[in-house]
Amino acid sequence: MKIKVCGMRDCENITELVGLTPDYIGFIFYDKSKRFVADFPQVEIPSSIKKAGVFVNETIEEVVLKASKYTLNAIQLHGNESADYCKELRSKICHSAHDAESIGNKNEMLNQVQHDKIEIIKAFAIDQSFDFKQTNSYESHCDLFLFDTKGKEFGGNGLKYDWSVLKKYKGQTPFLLSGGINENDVEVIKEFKHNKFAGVDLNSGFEDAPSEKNIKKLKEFKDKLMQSKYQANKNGYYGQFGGAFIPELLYPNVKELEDNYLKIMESEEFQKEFKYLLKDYVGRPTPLYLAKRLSEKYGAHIYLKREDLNHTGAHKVNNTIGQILIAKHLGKKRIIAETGAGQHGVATATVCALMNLECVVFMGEKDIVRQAPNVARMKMLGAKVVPATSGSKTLKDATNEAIRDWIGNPEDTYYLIGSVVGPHPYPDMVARLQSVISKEIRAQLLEQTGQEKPDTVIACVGGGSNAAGAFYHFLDDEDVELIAVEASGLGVYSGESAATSVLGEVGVLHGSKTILMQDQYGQVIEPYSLSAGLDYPGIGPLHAFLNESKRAVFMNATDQEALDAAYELTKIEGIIPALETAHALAVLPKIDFKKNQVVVVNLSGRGDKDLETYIKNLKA
Amino acid sequence: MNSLKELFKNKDKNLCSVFFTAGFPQLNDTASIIKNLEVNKVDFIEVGLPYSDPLADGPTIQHSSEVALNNGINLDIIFDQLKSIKGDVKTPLVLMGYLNQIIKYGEDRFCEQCVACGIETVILPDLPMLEYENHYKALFATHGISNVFLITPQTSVERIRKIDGLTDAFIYVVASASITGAKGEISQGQIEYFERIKAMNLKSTLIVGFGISNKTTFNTVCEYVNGAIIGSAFIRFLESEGVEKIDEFVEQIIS
Repeated sequence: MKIKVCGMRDCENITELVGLTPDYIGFIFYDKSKRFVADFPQVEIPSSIKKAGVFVNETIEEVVLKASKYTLNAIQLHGNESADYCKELRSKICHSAHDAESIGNKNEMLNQVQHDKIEIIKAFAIDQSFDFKQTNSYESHCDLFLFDTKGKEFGGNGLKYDWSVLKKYKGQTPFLLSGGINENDVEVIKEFKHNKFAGVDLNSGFEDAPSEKNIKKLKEFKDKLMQSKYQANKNGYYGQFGGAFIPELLYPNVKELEDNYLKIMESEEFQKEFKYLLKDYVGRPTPLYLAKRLSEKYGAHIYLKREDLNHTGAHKVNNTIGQILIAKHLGKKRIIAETGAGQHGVATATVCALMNLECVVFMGEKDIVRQAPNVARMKMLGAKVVPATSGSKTLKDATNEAIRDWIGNPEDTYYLIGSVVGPHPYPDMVARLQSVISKEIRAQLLEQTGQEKPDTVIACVGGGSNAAGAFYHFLDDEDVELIAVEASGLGVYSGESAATSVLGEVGVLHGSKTILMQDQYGQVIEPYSLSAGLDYPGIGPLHAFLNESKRAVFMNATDQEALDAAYELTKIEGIIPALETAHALAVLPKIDFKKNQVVVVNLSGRGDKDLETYIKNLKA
Repeated sequence: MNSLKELFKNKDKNLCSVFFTAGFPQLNDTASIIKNLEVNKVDFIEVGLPYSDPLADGPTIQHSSEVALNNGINLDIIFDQLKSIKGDVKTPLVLMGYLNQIIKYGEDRFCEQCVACGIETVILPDLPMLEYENHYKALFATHGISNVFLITPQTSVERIRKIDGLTDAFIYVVASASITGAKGEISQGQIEYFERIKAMNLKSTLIVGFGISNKTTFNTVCEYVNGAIIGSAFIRFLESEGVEKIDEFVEQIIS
């Protein structure tokens, strides 16, 4: 959602506002306004924030002059300007960029070139009887509309109108809501639905005096507005799920991470290193591939997000690269991790080799036998693999052992969790690190289809990290259907299953409140799936919330359905998927696709590690 | 006044507490273990509720939990066992379990059962202060149940003060940054830590746990705090020597 803060004048106030990174800062060049800017403030505004000039029935020449002089990125017309006026203005401002070049004013020229064009925003004064047909003729000459309250004066009256009237607007140009918005409107704005609703224009509702903005109020407003209900709150909760249910023994470790993870992740240094490693070491961006034969077969446009092409063969490395950088920033010397199938263990051992850090991987005794090639890979990468011999000797016990190790080594050790599970901040941190998947999907779809949103995203869920990454940037786009696929082993109710969303109940597992498979006394039940990466008795708290709130549809696939899907993809697309990933593919035959439905399946990993299983079951 | 507070009022030195896992070594040993410990003048007893994923416990207690669960123990049986001795046993009992057990059993039902068994104190290592204050404090208070918090060498002074204000049972002083059962001796670093805590003049009774395994370690820590809990060492003893010889075990600690 875009935020425009309008009516700015004071340099200091603007500098503070820049810290909040609004999308637009507006300057009013209308001399009857209380916020009139006579002398343009001399203050540094980064190019990521657009400077908007507000004019009321001004001559085109004057507008063009000011736009050029102050290097405006947007022109907002708040008077009775006609569509023809907008048309002429557009042709002139394109021209003026050339003028600047010919004059040889290099600074101005650079500024102009950086922005492909100057946006035109046309304001309309709205009341109950407003006829939205009036906006039609403006469509092709404006980039954005601004729907303000109809009042006595031009240029904003600080009053609200009934926003429900905007339902009548059927145009194609996105619009900003405007008119007397204040801090009490957050919830209404969040609930406001219109497919062309682009953001809000804020002014007098956040002022201590004309033009003087209350930055604290603006910040609170922005934070609340941007807080998605699918994001963890400050205590790590998604609805009733999440939190940090940890023994006091772990408190300092978790607290240290909680206090620092966002600061580190948002720092320029981290971002630079993370992006560099994802690109040159991991091989990102991974392709978004339109699987033609698969699409033909299921009657939809099926795109595969090729996480299998990442270094180490799965999405897991996105997370380990991010966390190893965080561990380094925290000054940790020793890395511990848990692993089920060994994919996360390999991804952790890999980044530890890369960063020259000691690596200890805990792995269930049974999994060590089942996943011998990955054990060998970890050892070759220099990691120590410690068998978890307690309980069921699988992933959940490996997790217990890792946590115990961390309790015993609170100062020098970093626990690198492999999924969106564990105490806060892990679920949020891992989801953010994996969110690169959906970020790329949006950009790639836009490039390939002209639309950045698919109709459906499908991903498999064990703990849920690849699904969290694939869903992340679509969570607030409620028109994008999200399908999470769990492993139902020999059948959901066979007693040999890992379909937590069906079989699980609310409880606490590995430090967070979620849903988990448990008996009537709260003892954790060992799940089953042929796939060692999906047999986790819980799901991450985000997924528990997506399930409960029905934001995501939870489906499941049996061992056999997953095997069949893997064989099919191999045969018709020449891609051998990981057995985990095959569960996501296995729901394709179960869905009744609409014609031209755009579907993205997150191809989370490659199948090399599962060859033995595939070969064995192919013969049988 | 609850029985634990009564005890602390009358005795503030060398308090000896023993932890055992309900349903271990045999399903129905719970009552006889408690009675034996009482006869041998243990001051208060911690009854461990066996859990499949005991994060804060070491291999010894986890093993005993596995055995107990395989024996068929569950919360209903434990409450029945405790009810059967309610009139006979005067030694205060403390339940130690994991939060998921209580959530699944039903928080209200769990509290009601505690009251019915005369249990007034619980230790839930994975229930942190924040969650306790937000979700459990009021409920426990309704049922007259006190919650014990743990502190470790890494717990900040500010946090210790807060815990001291929140609990009306005792503070469980974790002897070192580790899971239960490890170590075997008390180091100089640990002594400095006990001295530091002692110097804070907290209102709560201080009981040390984790790594207290014999007379020497017990006596050493009791110089600095009000008492100590023996857990893993007792579990190992029970496994090798059986319930009958409990008097020998207790004697070698507090004779």
